[in-house]
Amino acid sequence: MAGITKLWKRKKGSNSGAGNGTVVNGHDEDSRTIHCNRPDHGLFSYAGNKTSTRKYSWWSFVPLALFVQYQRAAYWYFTAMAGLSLAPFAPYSAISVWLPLIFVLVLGLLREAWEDLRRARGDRELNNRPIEWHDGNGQFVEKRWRDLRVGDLVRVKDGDFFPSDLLLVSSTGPDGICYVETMNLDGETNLKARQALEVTWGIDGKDERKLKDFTAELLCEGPNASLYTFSGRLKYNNAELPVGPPQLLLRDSSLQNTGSVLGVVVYTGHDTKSMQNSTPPPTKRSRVDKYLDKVIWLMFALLLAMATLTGVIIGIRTKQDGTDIWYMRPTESNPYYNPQKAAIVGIVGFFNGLVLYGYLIPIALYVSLEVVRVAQALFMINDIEMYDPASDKRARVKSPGLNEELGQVDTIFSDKTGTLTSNQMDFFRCTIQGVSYGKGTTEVERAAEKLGMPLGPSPRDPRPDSTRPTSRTQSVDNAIEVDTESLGPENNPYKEKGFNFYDERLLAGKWVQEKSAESIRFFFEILALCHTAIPEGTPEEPSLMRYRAESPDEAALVVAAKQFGFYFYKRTPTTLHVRESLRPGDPPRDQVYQLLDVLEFSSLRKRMSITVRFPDGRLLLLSKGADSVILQRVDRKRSGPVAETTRHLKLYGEVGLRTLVVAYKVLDEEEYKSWAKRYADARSIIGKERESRTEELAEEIEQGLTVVGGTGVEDKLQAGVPEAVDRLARAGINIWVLTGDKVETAINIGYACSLLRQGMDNLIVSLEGSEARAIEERADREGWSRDKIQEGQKNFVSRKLDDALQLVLNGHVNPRGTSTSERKISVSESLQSALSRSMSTKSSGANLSRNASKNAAGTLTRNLSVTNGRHSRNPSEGKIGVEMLPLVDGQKVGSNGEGLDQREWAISKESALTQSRKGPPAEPTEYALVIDGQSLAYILAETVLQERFLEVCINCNSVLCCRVSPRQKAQVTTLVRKGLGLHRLCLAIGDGANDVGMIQAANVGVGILGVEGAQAAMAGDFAIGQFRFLERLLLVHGRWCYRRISLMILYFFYKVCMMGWIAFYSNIFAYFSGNPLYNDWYASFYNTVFTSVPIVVIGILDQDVTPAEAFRYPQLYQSGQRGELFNFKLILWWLAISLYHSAVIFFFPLAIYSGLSAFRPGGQVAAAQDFGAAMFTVLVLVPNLQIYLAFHYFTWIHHLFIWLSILSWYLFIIVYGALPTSWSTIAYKEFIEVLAPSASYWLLQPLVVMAALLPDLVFRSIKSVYRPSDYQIVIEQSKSKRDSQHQV
Amino acid sequence: MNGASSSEGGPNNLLKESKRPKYTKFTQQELPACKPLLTPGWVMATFMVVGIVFIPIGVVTLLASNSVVEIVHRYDMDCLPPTLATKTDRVNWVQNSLVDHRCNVTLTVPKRMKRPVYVYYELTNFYQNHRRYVKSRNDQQLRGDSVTSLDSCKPLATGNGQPIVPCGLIAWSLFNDTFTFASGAGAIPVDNTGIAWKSDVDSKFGENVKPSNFPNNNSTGALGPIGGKALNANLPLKQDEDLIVWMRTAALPNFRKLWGKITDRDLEAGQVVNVQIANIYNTYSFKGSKKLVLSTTSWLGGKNSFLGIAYLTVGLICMFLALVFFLIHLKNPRPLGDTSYLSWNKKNSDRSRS
Repeated sequence: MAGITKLWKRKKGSNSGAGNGTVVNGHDEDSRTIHCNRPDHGLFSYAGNKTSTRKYSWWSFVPLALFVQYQRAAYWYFTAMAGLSLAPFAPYSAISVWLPLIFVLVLGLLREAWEDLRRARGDRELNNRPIEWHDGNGQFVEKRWRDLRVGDLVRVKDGDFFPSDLLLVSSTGPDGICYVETMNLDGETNLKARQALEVTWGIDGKDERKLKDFTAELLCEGPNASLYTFSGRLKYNNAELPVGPPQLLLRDSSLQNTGSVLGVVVYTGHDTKSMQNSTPPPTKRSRVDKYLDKVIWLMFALLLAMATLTGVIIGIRTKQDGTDIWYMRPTESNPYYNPQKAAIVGIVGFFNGLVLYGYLIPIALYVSLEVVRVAQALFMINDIEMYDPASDKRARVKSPGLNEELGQVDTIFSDKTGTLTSNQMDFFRCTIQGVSYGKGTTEVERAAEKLGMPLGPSPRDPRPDSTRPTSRTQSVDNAIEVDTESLGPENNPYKEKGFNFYDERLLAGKWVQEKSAESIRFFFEILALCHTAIPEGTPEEPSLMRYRAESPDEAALVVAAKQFGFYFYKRTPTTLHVRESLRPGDPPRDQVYQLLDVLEFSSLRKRMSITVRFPDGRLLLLSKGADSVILQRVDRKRSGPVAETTRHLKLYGEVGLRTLVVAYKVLDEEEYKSWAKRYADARSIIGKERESRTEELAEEIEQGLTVVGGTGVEDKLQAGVPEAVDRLARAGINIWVLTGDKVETAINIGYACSLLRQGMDNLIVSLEGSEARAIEERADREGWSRDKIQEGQKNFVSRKLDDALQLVLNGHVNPRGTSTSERKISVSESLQSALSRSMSTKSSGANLSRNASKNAAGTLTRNLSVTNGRHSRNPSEGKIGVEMLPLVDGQKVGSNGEGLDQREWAISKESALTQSRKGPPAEPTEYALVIDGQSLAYILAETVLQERFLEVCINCNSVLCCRVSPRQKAQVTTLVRKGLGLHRLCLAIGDGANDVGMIQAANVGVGILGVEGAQAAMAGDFAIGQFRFLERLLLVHGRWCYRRISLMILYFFYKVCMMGWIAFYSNIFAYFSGNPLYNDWYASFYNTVFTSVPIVVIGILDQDVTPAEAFRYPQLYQSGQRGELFNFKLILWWLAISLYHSAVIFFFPLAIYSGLSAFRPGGQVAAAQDFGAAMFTVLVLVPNLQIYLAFHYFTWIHHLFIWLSILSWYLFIIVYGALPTSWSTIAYKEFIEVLAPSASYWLLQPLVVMAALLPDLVFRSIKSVYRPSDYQIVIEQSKSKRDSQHQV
Repeated sequence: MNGASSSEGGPNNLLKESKRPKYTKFTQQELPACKPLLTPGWVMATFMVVGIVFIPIGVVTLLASNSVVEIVHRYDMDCLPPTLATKTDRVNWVQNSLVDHRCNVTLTVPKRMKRPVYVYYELTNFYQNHRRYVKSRNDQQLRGDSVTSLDSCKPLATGNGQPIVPCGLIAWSLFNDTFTFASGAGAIPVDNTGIAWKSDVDSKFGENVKPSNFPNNNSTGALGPIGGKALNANLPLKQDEDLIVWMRTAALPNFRKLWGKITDRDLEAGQVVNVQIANIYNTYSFKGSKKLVLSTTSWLGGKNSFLGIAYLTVGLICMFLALVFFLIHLKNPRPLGDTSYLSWNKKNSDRSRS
């Protein structure tokens, strides 16, 4: 909690500046006085309730948006160039430079404007929402949110959002209680209770007079960002009462399960806590983009060098030649040729060169990138494979600028609830009176099976081997089986949200035929009664009934009871109404149970109970809770089926179910009476004592229980998660799960979604383990100061990290530690044998005895047997097990063997770092780090530890951070991203508001489009409907985008550089005077028409392998992580190609069009313009045809645009040449009259193309034949497959 | 699927149109495509084909170039009194209009030159492509359109307050050596019409534009040192093809310009052609040279073996490469689609080998 608070305390930043003047008193306001029900309406000039998330206002738009545009270094350059083009010495006309620049800028501005308008539309919707406002005369009238003022009294109805931060005055719920959902604030889906001060309960909407007369003065703190604190004093009826968080209803949360509430507006608009928390989204730029900036600087340096050279040479030559060159009339001053002022000639020459060679820095690249990224985004959005039919949502792309980032991800930070799991609990199994019911396989089982690691014996009662392999749970009762053959766990007619249970022995009223029907009935009754869920819906429609419960698993139990015929449909403070239908044909009977007391659930108690009087008069205590807690409190004589239940629940846990024990106790009337009185007294105590007192009394009555059975609820993984995680891992992506869950739960889910795999070593750094607890105990004993405890814990964490580091780096632990490095692989088939027969691996087993490992359990355990029964996998599956078997007696391995093993370890470490994470079974050990939030806090506080931590993590395949706060999530993400020299490209994925920090901190943020709450999706750069789409987003779209953008940028530099080089070559022969060989329009059209479209098509469409192949070979993804498609080497390579090509393009035509020999039978020799046009022809041909060499994917669109581009040059020169001479100048009839009729012109073209492409062709041939790239082999493979199919 | 959405989203969802993207091959990026791979077969075939096509072209073009007969004679030094040793002397001599600049040159025809025989002059180290020079003209004026500004022509824009026609450095520096051809007793007429591009004549130079106020080379004073040819004030620019050719500026500092054509006869092998040259154009100050060139043409143009040699070279290289690839492939073939070549598999096997 403290962490969250801190997170939200972040500086408000520039947010306030962006608002349109609604922030008045600002954040310096220390306290405010609010006259309840007597709104100030401007008197105190508090902020209005109008909010704005816009970045610009109409007047600041142009300058601010331009400022945003100009954050790109290249734009400054382009503007400078455009400025230079206005100078009289510019070699090109100004318009040909200004047009593209204006185009890019306008495009950027339009996009900004569009986004801002969209935000404005969202704001308008919010600001115009209606709210019932008390008009001061006892009437409620409708008002808009934006019109609310501090002090207003408003009424909020069930399901509605609070328009501002409100002080709760009264609620239609009992005791002034209302429930709020804070999903949008902290990501928690459970309902939280808020309670009004008792003195104001009576003010409700019904009594006009009370409403009218209500007046109070609230003195409270000024606006701040802390979501969990609030303090103030309410002066009401001459009394002064303290108010705090329980009375505060926050904007962005909603009212649930409560008819309506009245509240007084405390903070409005940008003063509200949620708005104070909002941070402006960071502007992110992709790695490629940043690299591009560097390349631009490089090119700029090159350009400067070339321009300087030009200036110097022309200056010196002009000085030297002096008056010799009479035809320039050197005596007349002219900045281009003036021997008297050679320096000026040089400077002019320099600037002239800047513009002339300015092609080196392509503005068209930026235009094209924008276009391509938008198109890529459209492909993502329109991908059917990323459409989620359940929520009817497509993928969304908010930052197309980060597309290619998706192809280079090293590390994924994932939220758990709602991201990996669907946050939906389904009733899956139960055990009643020692008999286990429920069929079907859990996701965990399925995942394990898929990965070839069956989970030992099935958790169900021992049964004969099944005949149907799909369902390993077959009923003994064959008669029933026959009847329901078409039905089963996979085809379950009773399935609904919260209920995925199938067992024909219990369903459809069949349970009455069971042996212990009475117990079963009782079990169902307990499920239907013992909870705090609130039914929502009409009682007559059970299928539409929704239960609002504190947690989804509780709701699942109530749903289960309903399915079994005990339909809970109504709750009053004192009664519970259940409609019982015992047999299918019987009419349902309504039963009313008297609810006496509720002993609520708390994470400390881990149980909840109610006392209830059954319709038949029995007085009972019904309990459900964690097995450890309940079993401690059973009656020794009437314990119920404890042994079987325990066994079943253990097995349930093993397959990933959340388990609860259900128990009861018959209460003695007298005893209860005395207890009830004391309990009521305790509850009425005001102050701290109340809690401990009620606790004691609950403890007193929750004794002597009798177990009835237990339940297993599945926390459903989202569809396809294990597969996606597995493939992403194989793609070389490290996956971190950051969750608020307990270590054990996290490890469970880790296995379920194949983050943790068999053969992986789990390194656990936790301050909840036994050794860590020992520190606390010692501290208690010796009365350590707080600092000392922290010191001790820090040392502990640091030591653990050291050991982990030793392990992952060297494959052994330093022998000093008490910590073990045992790699225990249990070969046992049950829990007991697993514990007793843990065995050491060859890696380190010889170092330490087995006993040592046991002593140090709970510390750094490379241990597969941590979690509930996870160890009982049979390792004889797969090679790991085989490898292990001879080593059961680890001690027997001699020292020789040990040395050998260590060498192998060293090798395996290297490979674990550099290549695929999962391969043949002979792969070396993989590591997983599990760390808890408390340990993380110590690590994050110190640089040394951070470094160590990072190094461990980078050597681990999976990292699980448990019990972390949202702030820690963001911190860890930032740490890894900035990574102290270990830069990694991080992607964060989450669904809740608590993930926003992480999503913003990561290089790429992906939001899950949850059913409720869109904060994460809003904050994310991308949003998808399901976690599994991430796989396609990365492995397919990301890889493609990275490839496309990389290819595009490289090719772009190649082709624009050719223009630059050629300008330079021609300058060499033209006294460095900077006279372009061709008309401005040739040059302008070069980048916009003749060579622009094919590369854009490639940027949009290029593929190497198909999605299917990408999934089959996830390793292909690693080329992106290694940056193989865009790096300095490749840039140099392409620059070299462009140098060579431009040389061929320039000098080959020059040999024919030098002006020395006739180039056609008519005897004419070529002039500058003839040479220029001929050269330009091949300058268009070569890069367009180079595409066929450099790329490997051609659809008809590619062909069309390549040839259209080539054709466009000829068309251009024909059409442009046909214009009057005042337009066409040197191009006039150039093609028709001069070039086309000469054979040499046509012979030149294939020659130049071939000569230019030849070296590249040779190089690529050699590479393709003898050093094939990965994707090439994959294509070859599928090609040969297709061919062989054809032959067959 | 539908069931899930309707039960979860409530009845509202049924009314809304599904956002499911439409399936098209294009939007799902499943367009049929060819993925050419440079497999050994393709590589060899490509090189082979290029070689087979290029070598004959090379031979043919080389033959064409070799069929051209060309006579090149540098005369700037021959036509200079040998006493003039320094640059200043030479410049003074060449610019002195009072001195006789005529000189005689004999050329012997090496092979039969079929008409038309083209006569060129060649200048070296003359930067017709200097930016200052190239810009110094006014196309509007040349065309005879109304002229708004002659700024680009400065300092040869106006003289005595009147615009100079044609203005600018290019026109002013027009080459003005003359050649008179004779063989034996008879003069060989040289036709200097039809040497410019028709488009230039038709559209870039006006019918009614006649030189006026033009600083002829004998003028002195404000306009400074002597320039090029004096223009006939009565000859419309359109008809002055020498000027038109000159004003189509060259790409390089060494260039030839067509001066005329001998169209009435072939020149026989061994025939001696006497040329009287008026050597008055100043190339001495900037270390340029002047040459007289007589050349025939083939279907391809003048004497230029570049195309032929280049075609042959590329063709031969390709043939050679085809052979090399063939041999390597025979010796050490790589099976296509062999997954052991995948980088991640390769590293594994490398390790296991070591």
